[in-house]
Formats: sequence, structure tokens, C-alpha cells
Amino acid sequence: MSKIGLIIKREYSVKVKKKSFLIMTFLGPILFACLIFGAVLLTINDQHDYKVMIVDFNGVISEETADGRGLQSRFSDRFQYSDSSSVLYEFSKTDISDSTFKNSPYNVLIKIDDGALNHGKCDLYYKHKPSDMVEDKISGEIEEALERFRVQDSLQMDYAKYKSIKKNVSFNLHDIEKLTEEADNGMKGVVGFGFAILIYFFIFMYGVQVMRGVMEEKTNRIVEVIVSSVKPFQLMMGKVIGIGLVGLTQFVMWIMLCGVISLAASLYIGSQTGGAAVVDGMQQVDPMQQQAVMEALMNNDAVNWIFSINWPLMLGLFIFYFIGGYLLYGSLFAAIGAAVDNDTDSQQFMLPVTIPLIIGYIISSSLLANPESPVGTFFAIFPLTSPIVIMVKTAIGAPAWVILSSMVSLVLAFLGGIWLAGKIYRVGILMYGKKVNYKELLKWIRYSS
Amino acid sequence: MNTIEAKNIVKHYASHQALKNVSIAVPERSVFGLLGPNGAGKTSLIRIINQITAPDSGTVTFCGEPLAPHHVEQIGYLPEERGLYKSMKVGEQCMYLAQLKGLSKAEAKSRLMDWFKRFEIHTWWDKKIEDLSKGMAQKVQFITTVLHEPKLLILDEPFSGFDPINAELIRLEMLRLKDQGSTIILSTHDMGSVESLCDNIALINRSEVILEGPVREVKNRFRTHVYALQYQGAAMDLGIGLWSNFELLENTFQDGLHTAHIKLGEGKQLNDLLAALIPHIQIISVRELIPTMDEIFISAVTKFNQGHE
Repeated sequence: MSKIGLIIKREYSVKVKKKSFLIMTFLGPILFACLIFGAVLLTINDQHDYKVMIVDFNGVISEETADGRGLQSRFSDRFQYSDSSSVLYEFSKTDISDSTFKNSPYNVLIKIDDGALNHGKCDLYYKHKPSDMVEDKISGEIEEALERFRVQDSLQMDYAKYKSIKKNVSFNLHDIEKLTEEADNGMKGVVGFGFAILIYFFIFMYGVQVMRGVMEEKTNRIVEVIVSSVKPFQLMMGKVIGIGLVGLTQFVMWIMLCGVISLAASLYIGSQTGGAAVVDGMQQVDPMQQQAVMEALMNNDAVNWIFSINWPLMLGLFIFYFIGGYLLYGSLFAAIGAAVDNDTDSQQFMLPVTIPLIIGYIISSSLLANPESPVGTFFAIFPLTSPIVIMVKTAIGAPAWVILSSMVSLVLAFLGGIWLAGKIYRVGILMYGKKVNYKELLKWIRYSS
Repeated sequence: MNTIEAKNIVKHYASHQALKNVSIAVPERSVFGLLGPNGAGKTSLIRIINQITAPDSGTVTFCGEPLAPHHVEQIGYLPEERGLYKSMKVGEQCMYLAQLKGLSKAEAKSRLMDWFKRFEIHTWWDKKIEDLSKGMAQKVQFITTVLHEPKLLILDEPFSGFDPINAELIRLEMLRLKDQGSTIILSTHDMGSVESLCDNIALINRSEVILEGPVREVKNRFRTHVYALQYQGAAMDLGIGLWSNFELLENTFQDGLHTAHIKLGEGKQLNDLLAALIPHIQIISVRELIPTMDEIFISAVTKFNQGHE
């Protein structure tokens, strides 16, 4: 085995045998899912019960109860109590003072007056601020009730009729050059953004691991023994490639694990809902019906969206930028690790390397709103941001010249970056106890071998 | 034949000149002491021989051939700042380093087994490096340095961290390796080990070689021609015997014996001194006071520094 092969093998086997690798591989997707689920839950979950008093000055959304003892919603299907929202509504025609509200059992007070009718603005007083979710729910109820009032009372129209003629407008996009129907750029951009995020995390996670690995070798003082057997450049590349392979392994295992989990989940759901019966049933459906189902599928937006994406191109570019971006950043991180003796010193050099990554991330998200932005095109070609930005740019439709220049610039930057990192690495790994600054790094780059 | 011959090596680091026209010749099957104060340029020279860095100018030959990348497999290097991967096991660590030096897996394993038995550490194979004491780790490092049976061994402070028993074990191994054909460059500040092991030395100070040659010859160069003479009789009689060309530096009396330190004059030999004294005193013993390597080191460096201030 070649020496670089031995280094890659060592890096790989030591890392994958670590407990932390196994834990992250198996618990990573679960932890990630829990994290997202937890965050969503925290945002939407509001355990409070709300007792809402709506002061309806003009009686536009409330009416007297049959027994004349109080008020109720004019629209029987509105302002209903349900366990999921835990909001109980009551109505009043007379104003309620602040002090009365404070001493009342209600925790939300809403006043609907002429302003609400004419301008859609009404005042809401609270003792405990409702979550966005609950606030949306209450405002949605009032909005629809007021709409019904306007339609039925002011326009004298049947509300169901009104609903049936009310249609939103959206565009089917067509690029005149391609003359094929384009799916929504935003939706396609999301796919690119997903790829971009994967690359972003991969570069960050494993780039930092490379840096720590180099620092470990340096502080362990093993490095001088190793570089008496192999060239520093071989050691650096061996480490970068070895850790990259560890990352790829983890990545592939995550995908497989997610596959297994979703398969298990769908089988479980299927067994709970009699999915097998549905499949049996499908086999007995006559061909006409099957064709109708297929047509319906073809007309489905989601299906159109999936078919509108150039998957081979996206996957090909993903692999190219995933590897190219990691190798470029991995060697830069290796150079930082070689230049410093400890974590604290690494901060000053981390910043210029991480800033382009963060810029790439920000530009990617802004590209979703403005796909043709020249700034976006520039960062899709600029090699330090291209691995992230190009994925979104390509997903929403990048010209071939942008993709090609971006790929060429990444290859050139990779070669230049590795050359630069190799120079810093070679000197840095044998330099102990010296506080290094940028001037010093420039000197190292100028050293002859 | 010389295993290593470095000629006119110059090395700069930015504005600092690490080596100024340094030339050394390390004869085959010898122990060569590379001496010098801290920061003198020893490590720079060692790194050039190891091809970790290259000289700005000058040439290095290895067994007569210009130094080339394939020679690293014939060199074993134990740096002063040495360490091991803490989380790896002793066995896999040694296997890895041996393979980097070009040994096959099977060869590395069989040689390691022999060395582990010789050092009585065969139970350590599956131990983690982080569980070893400093001395234990040093033993493992020594084995990984010599395992591929290199023609040239470069040992930088090989005894540091060892207790006297293990230091002796390493010293004997070095002599055994030399007998088997290895050439050893020993860089150390322990002048006792230089005296007991080295055949030749080079003393580097302020990036230059200021003293070199076979140890015996170097010592000769620093001879002061002072003899310690033990005798019985009166000190007055000694004075009578010492006529011109002999200088009495000191005379002490203890346990019924006098000890005199006498410096020979220009062109005089020990026989002349003895011939002059025998008629006057009873000589018990006589030995030359040869300077130690420590004294030579201090004297050479001090003299050089004074001359360059």
C-alpha cells in the first residue's frame, strides 16, 4: 500500500472505530429529527386554555341566543371550542373596562368596532400573550366571520357562491428559450437549498475535524516522526481524504438509516390503516380507472415539481461540489491546524475561512427570492462560496456557462488552495510555542522547501 | 566510507540563518555525536538529513549517493520532541509506523514480536498509548525507530525520560546496532553518553561547526598537559625536583599522601617529569588530567562566542 494510502487507512479506521462516530451515526438522524420536532413543537405548542371575550359593538358576528339570555356566534360553524386549540369564545355588545377585564375569568379581550369592519384592524388585550399559532387561529375565525358578514349582509350574496367564485391566481412559468413548462422556481430552489445545506454542514463538520486532527498530531509531537517517513503534503492530503471518507461513510449510513426508518414507519402505518387492503384493492381496479389515477398524478403539482428537476445534473453537481468543496476547505482547515498550537489561537484564522461559507449560505437563501441576481451569479462562480450557492442556482436554472466557470474556478482554487495550505502546513507542523499571525503565515508561504 | 556526508550546508528561515556552510562526515558503523547549545542549528541539520526540509545550498550524500526520497526508508529518526497517537493501541501504532518506513505487514509483525520480547513488553500489544507511562512510551518510540533496521539512526536525546536501568538498556542496544552495521548520529547534551558512546563528534555553535573530529583527537586538542601526581615525601623535595619547564599548579596533603597537579613545560614529556622527580620523592601514582567533554564543550563555545562579540 502506498504511504498516502496507509495514512488514509489509519485516519479512517481510527475515526470509524471511535465510540463518538458510532453514536453520531446511529443517533445523529434521530437527534436531528428530535431537534427539529422539538423546535417545531416549542413554536406551535401552547398549553394554555384561552377564554376569549369578543366585544362586538355592532353585532356583526354575534346574535342573541334563542332563550335571549346571552350572545352566540352568528355563524354556527365559527368560534367553536375544540381540544386542539383550547379556545373558548364568548360575546358581549357592551364595552368592558380594563379593570373589569383584569378581574374577569377571561384572558383575552377583543374589540370589534367600525375600524375592524372598515380597515380590518381591531384591538386585542391579553393577560397571557397567545402563541403565534393561537393568535392566527383567533384572527382567522374573526376574519372569516367578518367576511361572511360583508358578503351576506352588505352584498346580499350567498357565502357558498362567493367562495366558489373566489379563486387565487398563480403563474405557470415558461422560459421562452426552452418552451417547456417550468415548475415554481422557489420549489425547485428548495431542492438545491437542501443540497447546499448538506454541503455546508459536511464542510463545516469534517473541516473542523481535519483541523483538530492536525492540531492533535502537532501537540502529540508525533508529527516529526511521521514527516521523516512521508512528505508533509502526503500527510496533509492523507488526513483530509481519510476524514472525508469517514464523513462520506457517515453520510451514506445516515441515508440508509433514514431509508430503513421511513420504510419501517410506512410499514407500521400501513399495518395500522389496512394498507395491504388498499394495495389488493388497487390490483382489482379496472384499467380505465388506473389511467384516470395516472392522469391525476401527472396533473399533480408535486409530481410535476419532482419531474421538472434535472436530477442527474443536480446529483452529479452535488457529488462534484461536495467533494471539491470539502477538499478545498479541508486543506485550508488543515493549514490552520498546523499553524496553531491550541483551540484559542485557531479562532483568528477560522474567521476568514468560515465567513465565505456563511456568505454562501446567506446568498443561497436570497437566491430563492431573486434567482437572476448578478450577485448570486458571482457567488455561484466564486470558488469559496460556489459549492453552496451553485446548488441553488442550478436548481432554479443556471446557464451552462455559469456552471462550467464555477466548476473550473473550483478546480483551480482547489489546486491553489492545496498548494497554499501545503506550504503553511509544512512549516507550521514543526513550529511549536510560537504565536502566529498573518504576517508570519505569509513568511511561511515564501519559504523554500 | 561515510554514511552521511554533508557539504557546505546553508539554511535560512526568513532573516535567521540556521546553518552557515556546515560540513560533517559521518563514517560508516560509528556513533557520531552532534553537539551544540540549544538553538545552534542541530535540529535544522537533522531535518535536512531526514529530508523534512531542504537546504538552501550545499549537498548531502547518503552512502555515496545524493540524498533522495527513497533513502528515508534507510533512516530511523527519534526526534527530541516525540510522541505517539494517544488513542491508538501500541501494536497498531507500531505496525503503522513500520509500514510507513516500507516494511510489509508480515515483516513488521514478526520484527515487532522479536523486539517486544527483547524489551519484555509483549503484554503491551493491545494497551492504549495513553495508558503507558512516559518511560514505557519512550521504549515503544525507540523500537519504532530501529525496527526497519535502518543504515542510519538519528537519535535526538534518546536517554531523556529513562531511568538508569532503561537508559543502560538503550545504550547497550545502540552499541549492538552499531556492531550489526548501523551508523548512529547522537544528538545530546549528556556529555557522559558522548564520552562512552561516540567515536566522532561535531560541535555546532551559532549555526557553524566549531569543533569536529574523532573524540580521542578532539580530547587531545584540548589537552592541558597537566598531571596529577601522588607521592610520599616532603613537599619541599618536590619543589627541589621541579626545576624549570614544570609548573606546580597545586599541592594537597590527605591521608599521608601528597597530590600535586603539575603542568609540563613546552616540549617536555611525562618521562622528563618522572626523571626529574624520582631522585627526590616516592611516586605512588600518576595520571594525566584530560578535560571531559563537558569542559571541552564549555571551553570551545565560550571561546567562539568571545571571539564573535
